[in-house]
Formats: sequence, structure tokens, C-alpha cells
Amino acid sequence: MTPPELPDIVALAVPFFILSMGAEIMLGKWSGRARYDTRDTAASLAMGAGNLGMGIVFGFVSFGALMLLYPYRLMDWGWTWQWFLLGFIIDDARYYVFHYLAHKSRWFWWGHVTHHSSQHYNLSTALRQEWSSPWNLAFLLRAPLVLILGMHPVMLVFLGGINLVYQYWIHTEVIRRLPRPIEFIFNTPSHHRAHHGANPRYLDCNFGGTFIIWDRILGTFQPELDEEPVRYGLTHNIATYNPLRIAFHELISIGRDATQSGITLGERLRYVFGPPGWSHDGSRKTAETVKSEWRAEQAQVKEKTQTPAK
Amino acid sequence: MALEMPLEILGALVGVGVPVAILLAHLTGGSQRVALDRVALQAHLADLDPHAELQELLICQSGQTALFTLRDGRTGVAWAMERFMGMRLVKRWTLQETKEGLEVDLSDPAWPRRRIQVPNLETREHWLHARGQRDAA
Repeated sequence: MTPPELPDIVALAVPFFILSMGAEIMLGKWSGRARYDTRDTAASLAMGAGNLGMGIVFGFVSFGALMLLYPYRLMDWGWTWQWFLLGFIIDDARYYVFHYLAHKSRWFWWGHVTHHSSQHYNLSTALRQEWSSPWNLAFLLRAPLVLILGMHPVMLVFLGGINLVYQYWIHTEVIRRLPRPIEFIFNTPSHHRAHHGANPRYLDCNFGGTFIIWDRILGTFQPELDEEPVRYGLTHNIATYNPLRIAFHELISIGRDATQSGITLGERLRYVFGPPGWSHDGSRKTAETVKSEWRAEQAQVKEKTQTPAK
Repeated sequence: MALEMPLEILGALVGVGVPVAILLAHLTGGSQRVALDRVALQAHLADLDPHAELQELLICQSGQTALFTLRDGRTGVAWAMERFMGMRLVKRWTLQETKEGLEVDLSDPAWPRRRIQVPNLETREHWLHARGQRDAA
């Protein structure tokens, strides 16, 4: 069956992005619940515009590759709304896997670090998107959906667009908490604020796109705690607003690390595909190391406070 | 027929919307920059390393860049980023003298070279000397 014509959800959402951002800036000024810095906003929007441009120019690479796989599918996926709904849930699980890998492997992190590189958390941060697609080959994570389930690439692009637009509005400090059933099932501003945290407690948590249930099931959920305000950004923040540096600094660092002299092939590969912060001489820290050191410190503090003084 | 966003309208929306958002951010006070001082630096340092304690501090005339040492001998650089700051405890770096002061290069693509205006020659000498001594050690 010929796929139906589906709208480009992200392009259609652009007016909404602009209007809502304007509203948040004004609301922030009035209520103090959102903060926008000029150069940070400019950098985020430049990254967003660049990402949109990359999609227009190079989108055919990932789409074309998936189209090449489509004739070899094992089954056919339907086009009724039930199939769209089921497809959305499955594609969101695929997003969880991608997002998990984006934090656990430097190969995907070099693009995704862009999104985490602001110390702000507002709607413009949502648009601070990577320029690494399709060159990081993350689109291959959609291959099983095409080959095994027979989902058409047109549907995947459409569903991916909905997921992206959903994730836009959760980048805000204006909304504190939503009703419990929503917070239980969906990714919300509160859950995603925790995801953007550089505090050890919040590192590498809440990878879900639209649904937070994947994190609850797979043990990566961390609620935002009122007693520990989120410190946004990276454990080692960048100090630049230059879009090219923001987009490619991690790729350059990977290149430098992997080509240094005196290390083995395995170590070179780990610099490329291993976790961010890994180093052959232990001179840097991965998120896992930072977290475990922090947990150990917390345990010590707890022990000290519980032990009665002699 | 599916809803469509013609490319020229999309381009116009981005072309107008982005500058308007940036202008709004500026008009609502988004261009103010934090001035670096000992208190702000110590507070930020606690996020990087709760045990770190500031010792020597050199703040650029503009108040936007700072060079500091810790009690344990480590060196760090800080740069005011509007309302926030970027801070690094450095390992591999170079410190050079320039016409107006010093230039710090961390060899890090996410940290462009930073010029620190230091009119006082003695202060410049002191930091260059300290850097040399650390290298020797």
C-alpha cells in the first residue's frame, strides 16, 4: 500500500515554538520563573536552526537508508490510528534506547552533548539540538522497526516528529508538577529537569521521550527533589557560545583522544565508543564514577550522623 | 492533502522569530553579566569539588575572567557567562604573556583562549613564575 501523505510535524510546530518562547521570556520577566540570557538564547536558537537545516539538506540519507531496508520487512504494519498509536509507543521505546546510548557512548554523546551544554533550562534549550544526524548513524536504531515490524519510514519520521514536539514543552521551569497520574506515565517538565541536572544524583536518569514508564521499568528513574535543586548543564561546562564549537567540540576531543600516541587499539576504540569521561589512565571520571563516589560520600555522612558520639 | 509548511514560510518564520526572541531576551535583562568575585567563585567551586578551597585569585580588569589556585596546588580558570560562569580545574594548559596581560590556553575546543588584562607587571610575573614552578615540579 502507498503510504499516506503525512505532515511535517516539526516544521508545522515552528510558529508554536516561537510564540511560546516569547511568552515564556515575558512570563519569566514578570514571575521570575524562567531565565533567558541573550547569548545563551542566541546559541540555542542557532543550534536549532542548524539542526532544522541539517534535516532539510541531509534528511534523505537516513530516510533513504530505511527505505532501502523496507522491501525486506518480515511483516506489514497498518495505517489505521491504532497502528499509529502502537507505533508511537514502540518508537518511544526506541527513543529510550537511543537516548540511553547517547549518554553512555561517546559516539552518540558527541552530538547529544549539544543539547545539555546550556546552564539554562527553558524552551530555547529544547531547540539546542545536535548537528550530528545522520552521520552518527543513530537512525540505524530504527532499522529493526522497519525490518521486523514492517513500519514504514514515512510513519517513523511522522512519529519521531510528534515525539520531538512533545519533548519541546517539557523544557521549562514555569510548570512545577503535574497531576500524579500524568507524572507517573509521561515525561514531564519535572522529570526532564532532573535529566538535565549535573548534580551527581541526577546524572544519567530519565531517558524517556514521551513516556517515563521506560525509566520506571528499567531502573533509570530519578524524581526531581525539592530539597536538591537541579544544577543544569554538564559536569564540565563549556565556555563558548560559538555554534560550531558547541556542535563539534566533543567530536574534536574524541579525535584528539583516540589519536594520541602510546595507547592500544582497544583504548582508542573505548575513547570513541566508551562512556563519556572514560580515560585510559583514569585521569577523568565517567558519570558512573561521579555517582558512585557521591553515593559513597553520602553513605559516610549518613553513617557519621547515625553513630552516637562516644 | 497533508498540511504543509512551505519552505519559504518556514525560512521567514525562523529568520524573523529567532532575532525577535533574542531581542526579547536582551530587553528583559538577559545581557547582564555576573561579575566574578571570591565568594561567587568559591560557591561555584563547591559544585566541582566540595573540598576545594580557593587560595590565590587573579580577576581580569573587566571582572569576566579569573585565574585561581587552590590550597592543594591545583589551578583553575573561570569565565563569566552572563548570569552563570564556566569553571575548569586545569591540567594541561599554557599561560603566555601578552601586551595587556596574560593569555590562558586550555587546548580545549569548548574553551577558547582567554585573555586576562593584567596591567600590573609584577602580578603578571608572579603568575608566570608560579606556572613555571608548577611545571618544574
